[in-house]
Amino acid sequence: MHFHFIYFKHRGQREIPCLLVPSPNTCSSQSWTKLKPRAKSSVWLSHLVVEADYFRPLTRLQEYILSVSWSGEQTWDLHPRAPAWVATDPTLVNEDLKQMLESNKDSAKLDAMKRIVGMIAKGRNASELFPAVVKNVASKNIEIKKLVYVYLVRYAEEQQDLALLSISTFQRALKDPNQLIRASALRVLSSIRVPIIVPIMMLAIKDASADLSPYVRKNAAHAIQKLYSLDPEQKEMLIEVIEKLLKDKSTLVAGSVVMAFEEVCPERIDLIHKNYRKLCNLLVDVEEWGQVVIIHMLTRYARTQFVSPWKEDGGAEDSEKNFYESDDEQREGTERRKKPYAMDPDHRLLIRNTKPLLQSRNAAVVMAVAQLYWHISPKSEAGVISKSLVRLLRSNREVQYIVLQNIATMSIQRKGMFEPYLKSFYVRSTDPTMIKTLKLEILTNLANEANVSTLLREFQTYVRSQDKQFAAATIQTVGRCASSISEVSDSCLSGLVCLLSSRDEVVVAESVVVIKKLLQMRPAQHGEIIKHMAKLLDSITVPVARASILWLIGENCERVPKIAPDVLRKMAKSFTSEDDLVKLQILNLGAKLYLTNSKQTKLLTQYILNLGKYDQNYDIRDRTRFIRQLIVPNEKSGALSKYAKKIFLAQKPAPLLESPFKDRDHFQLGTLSHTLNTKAAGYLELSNWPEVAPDPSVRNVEVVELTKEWTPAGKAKKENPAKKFYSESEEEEDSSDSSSESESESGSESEEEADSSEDSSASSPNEQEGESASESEGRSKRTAKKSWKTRAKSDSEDEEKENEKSKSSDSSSAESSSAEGSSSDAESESESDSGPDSRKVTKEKEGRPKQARSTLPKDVSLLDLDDFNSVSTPVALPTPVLSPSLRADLEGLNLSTTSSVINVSSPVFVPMKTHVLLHRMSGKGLAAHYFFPRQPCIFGAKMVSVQITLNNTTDQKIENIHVGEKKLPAGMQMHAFSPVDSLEPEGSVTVSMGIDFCDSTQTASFQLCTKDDCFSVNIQPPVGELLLPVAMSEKDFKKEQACLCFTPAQQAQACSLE
Amino acid sequence: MIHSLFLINSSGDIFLEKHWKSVVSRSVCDYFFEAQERATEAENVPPVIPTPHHYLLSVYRHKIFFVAVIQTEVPPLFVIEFLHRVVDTFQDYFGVCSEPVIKDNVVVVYEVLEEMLDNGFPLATESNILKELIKPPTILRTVVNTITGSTNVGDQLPTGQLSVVPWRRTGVKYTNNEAYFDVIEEIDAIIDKSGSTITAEIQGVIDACVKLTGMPDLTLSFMNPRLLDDVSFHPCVRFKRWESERILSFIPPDGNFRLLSYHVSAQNLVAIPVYVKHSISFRDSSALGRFEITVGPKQTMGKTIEGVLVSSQMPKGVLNMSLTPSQGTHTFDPVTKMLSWDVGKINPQKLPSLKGTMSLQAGAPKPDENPTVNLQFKIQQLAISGLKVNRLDMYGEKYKPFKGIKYMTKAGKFQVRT
Repeated sequence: MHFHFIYFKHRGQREIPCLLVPSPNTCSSQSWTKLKPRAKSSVWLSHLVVEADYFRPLTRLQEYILSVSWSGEQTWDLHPRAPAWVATDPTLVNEDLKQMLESNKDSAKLDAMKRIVGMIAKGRNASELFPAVVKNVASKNIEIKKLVYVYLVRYAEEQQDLALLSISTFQRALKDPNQLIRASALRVLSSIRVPIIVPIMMLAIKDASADLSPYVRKNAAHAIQKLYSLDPEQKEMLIEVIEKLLKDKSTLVAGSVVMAFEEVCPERIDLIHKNYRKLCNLLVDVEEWGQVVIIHMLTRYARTQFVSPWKEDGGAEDSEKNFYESDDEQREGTERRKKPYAMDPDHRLLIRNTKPLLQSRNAAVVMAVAQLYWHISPKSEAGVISKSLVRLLRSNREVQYIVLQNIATMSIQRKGMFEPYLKSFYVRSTDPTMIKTLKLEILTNLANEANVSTLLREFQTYVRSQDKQFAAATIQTVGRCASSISEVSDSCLSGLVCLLSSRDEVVVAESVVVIKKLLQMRPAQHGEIIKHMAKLLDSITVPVARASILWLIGENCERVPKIAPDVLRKMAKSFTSEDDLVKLQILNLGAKLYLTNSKQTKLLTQYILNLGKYDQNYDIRDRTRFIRQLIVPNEKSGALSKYAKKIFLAQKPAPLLESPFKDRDHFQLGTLSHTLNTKAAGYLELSNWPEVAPDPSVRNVEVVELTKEWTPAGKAKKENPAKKFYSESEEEEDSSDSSSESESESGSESEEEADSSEDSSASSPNEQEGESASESEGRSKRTAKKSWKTRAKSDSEDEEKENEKSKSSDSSSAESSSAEGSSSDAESESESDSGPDSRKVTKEKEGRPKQARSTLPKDVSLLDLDDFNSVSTPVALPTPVLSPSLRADLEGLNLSTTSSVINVSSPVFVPMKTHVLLHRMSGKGLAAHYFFPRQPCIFGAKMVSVQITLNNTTDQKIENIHVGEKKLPAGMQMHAFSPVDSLEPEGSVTVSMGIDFCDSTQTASFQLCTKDDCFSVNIQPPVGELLLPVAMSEKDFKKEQACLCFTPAQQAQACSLE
Repeated sequence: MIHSLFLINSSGDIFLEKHWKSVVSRSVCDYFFEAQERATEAENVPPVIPTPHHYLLSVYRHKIFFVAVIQTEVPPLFVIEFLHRVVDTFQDYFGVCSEPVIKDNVVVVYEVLEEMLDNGFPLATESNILKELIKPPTILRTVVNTITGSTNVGDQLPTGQLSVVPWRRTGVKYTNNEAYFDVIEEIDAIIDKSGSTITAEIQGVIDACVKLTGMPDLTLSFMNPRLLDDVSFHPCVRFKRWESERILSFIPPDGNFRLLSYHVSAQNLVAIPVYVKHSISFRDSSALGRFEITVGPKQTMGKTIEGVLVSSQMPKGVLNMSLTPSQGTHTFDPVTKMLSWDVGKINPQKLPSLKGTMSLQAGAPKPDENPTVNLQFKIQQLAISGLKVNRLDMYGEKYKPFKGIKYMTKAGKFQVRT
């Protein structure tokens, strides 16, 4: 009879063996009581009751669901509520649960489901309840429903037929008006791994991918991966869905769909082309997990699409790479260096847009950006990542472990990156050993002539550490420092020799091994050390160390002619009790001595060879045989024995002390494969840079028909008053593109905000940033120049976007080139105006127009419409931009210093940034935003045109909006907008007005009145908005600058300098 | 990505499992147990363990191993960061994250895990969103639920999920509007035998507790923002505004959150507020060693040092210690050889000291190295880097919030080598 213990599991982890029960075939509830206890610790069933009563006050009864396990897998539960604590078999327990599930009361069902989930969580089998559970899939109670889902996902695979019963419920739920229900239905449906429903899933995914709710679309992206793992046959169809979802503009979807892409079709890099720029731009706003996936994907993408940025800054670090290249390639390299390398603007876009993510709180994101910089950015720029990586070292030990590994790999190739942070890698005694060793590794990699003495002092502390494993690793490290930095090798060696007298065996052994390696590298006169080590043989027991000493003596046997034979004698004595490793070295030593000093050692060696012949280990027998044949001359020994001396006493190459991270760099950083140093399943190789960049134009997004139609108008904004009436309709178009939800969402936002209408759910954080930034400008009491400076900086990102936008609107217009051509001139104009102070800023900006020029449009249709939206001026001129020169003739006369060489050009870009004029809270529901369209004002040459968007956020009509009393400083003038008769609820209207700020940043205050109320508002222009873009040649510029900035005396000086 | 999750307690029992894809047998954890055995201490268990068909990535927190099973290549930090987020969420939900608590709330745990991952890819990890989906259990709610039959599960998609500020829920209302900010700085330092600083850096965080009605837009400015060397933000902070003006501008999440963490690098001289005088000596011949330690204030800017706790891992050869402190209490655990001395406040007039003898194992050689001393302390109302918040302004809402700011300096990893 088999006996089993039943364990009473107490909450406090105490296990009390309670009674013995027989094996199942003899077990019935009656037989229990008849059992005799076998061991002292077991008790009778009656005692069990007492025990249970004893524990009852301490813990909850439910804890006492007892398990009885038989020799098989089956688990029986002791029913907690059964009267006498009788063990019941699972069917009985389940009977109870079944009854509860079938009851009418939700609470009973819920209770049952909770218990079932508890069983699943503990890993116990609850599959028998499937039919009872699946009935509740249509329960009204949402918690029951959710728990049923949990159950279903867990067991559907095992009970495929029954699982089909639930499918219709999900199909119905897929049409539910509540997006949460639609999404979760899709989630569960796709999680049910039943091959029969593949077509249903496919259909559901297709529907969901076109759902209005981005949340549902996100779930569709997840479902793609599930379906793919269930049935890889569907790949083609799924790729179509992925392609569609990749075009999605919601940040919610982006991460998930890229994940699906990586899982299903990572080789279809062509699907990314058209979405590349969008992904780069959305990246900041995607949720953090999505960011990681997207960054990894884009890293791979960049490595296939752009040429290497590394050749250019070549230098010493590159030489290693070049070393492997054949001469031809190198010549090619130099040839390429001759023609200047220009980074693809898309390449730059990626590098730039990922930079802010280094500030993320998520370690995975920071690491992802770091590896992106490491793999694709020019080497000079990769330095920015070190600070962030070092920051991560403050995190949990697991994060530290991974980050340190990656730093170790990086620090081998580019020491300079982490050198300033050397002290951050100092080891603390509380670090876990694995962290200590990694830190040590990095410290070694960073060691150079300058810091090695500091490091060695630090190592001295480590060597004495209580953690002996770590102390041993430190000794290795010292050896590596000694071998790589020749200045300190002598002091290292003497330090290591000192350690030989340490009391700890591990330390001594490790020192011996390292000294051996060092001596081998420099076979100078180290007789003393060898003698000292020979003495150690008596005391040291660690095999590796003994073997090392023997080898060293054998190698230098001619230098220590007296000691060597004596050592051999001792070893011969202890041969049989030595470790295999040591035996082999004894044989070697014997052979070497036989060859050099056969008079003294002939007999000894033969004795050892005889011992070796009958050794248990075949390696040793083998070696013995080999050595005997080679060194002992007999008639059979061939020609080889003549060379025995040469063979045994050949000059051995010194071992290379290398970092264990040396060979890891062929894995992409931050990946699992890199951590393990083996290729993990599903690892995607990072390709080498292409020699010639593939066609960059594949990333261009074609202009949609509709947009083409509007472009001239969009362009026309520069001097044209716009057509406010269109803006409404465009908005509609816009939002129909995104989902209904986001539409309602964006309704609450001011509709003018360009970015938000582009992608309501996503880009608004950005938007607000810009907004509030400008708000503060309004308040700031800084000097004009300063504020200009900050503005320029803060805008820089936006600016580029804007550039792109304006460019995109240009793409079909014939004027585009001229507009662009003037861009750089416009820059210089601004320089002249802001004076030398801002030169730095301008310089910063100089690079940009170039880029913007080559950055080709993306998301054209939407962006265009946005541009267009925000522009509204009363008169529409269908003609494209006037040529700069012509315009200069027409209207460039208002600059007092204008000479004939100054041409007013069209602005290179117009910021979409709006400023709050009247907040909806303070405006009783009327909100007003203003922005500077940067176009010549139609109301007067000296006026700056301002566009005001009025929003009605109330649910009533607002009537008669007009400008009331004006409170302008002396000299300022203002042309009010024509009153708006009425504004519908949720409606918005854009009006334009002109203000002459008298070239100052004084505030223009006026009242904005409705039928019932008056609100005081004011506009303060940033200094940049008062300027006009002007094109001129460099010479003219210098001339003008001289006139503007200097006194006549200085002017003369400036000229002479020229 | 993440296939399954196993929760393993310190005694090696798997007490919870959850699978997001098809079921992975528990037996996969055997590889983990093997590694656990090989590593003598829990914290030496490698975070990444390869097995023939799976990879086990684990984190160890609150005496529980969270072991994630993955099958294919995935950035390891992705999984590790996620696991830490899971622990944080549990802590947020239940106050503590321990085995009995997880077992008690296994259903909520399961529901939360179900929402956090879909097919192994993180779905909702923001605790604000999760709390709207699944309400954390409170005593009151449990009572109400049993009476009314309502559930812990929300039936609406959390508004945050789709809004532009996913971290903040809508419709927040408070009668008292308060915003508290704690500037907490930790000094990480290694001090060498002679008392000179080998390395010291300051790691600071600003933790906030914001309970404000509506959608407030806050700006926080510093007197000396240049001090901050390297910063990482909560996603709510507008990065560009920081870049351009060095002002923190944000719409805060509701409740407690970490606004910012920063780093003041070693290049700036870090003031070390305490010093430790020590004389620990082992003698070769005798079985007794001398032990003496004194702690005193150094650069404290006139503030008192509180909560001082000295701990030290003594070498294995030490059998017992007989010590007398001039203040506070001390304990020595002869099994783990851990000495800890709870000092409390430091009175500059009468410096606390701990003196006595150590009895060493007879015959054993004297230890190579003197033990390092780890120090913990707190200084209220002082940010050791000198960082000062200038002002906090609120826009977007009408009411006047109550604002509070607190500074504190703590010892981080503060070690004195002896």
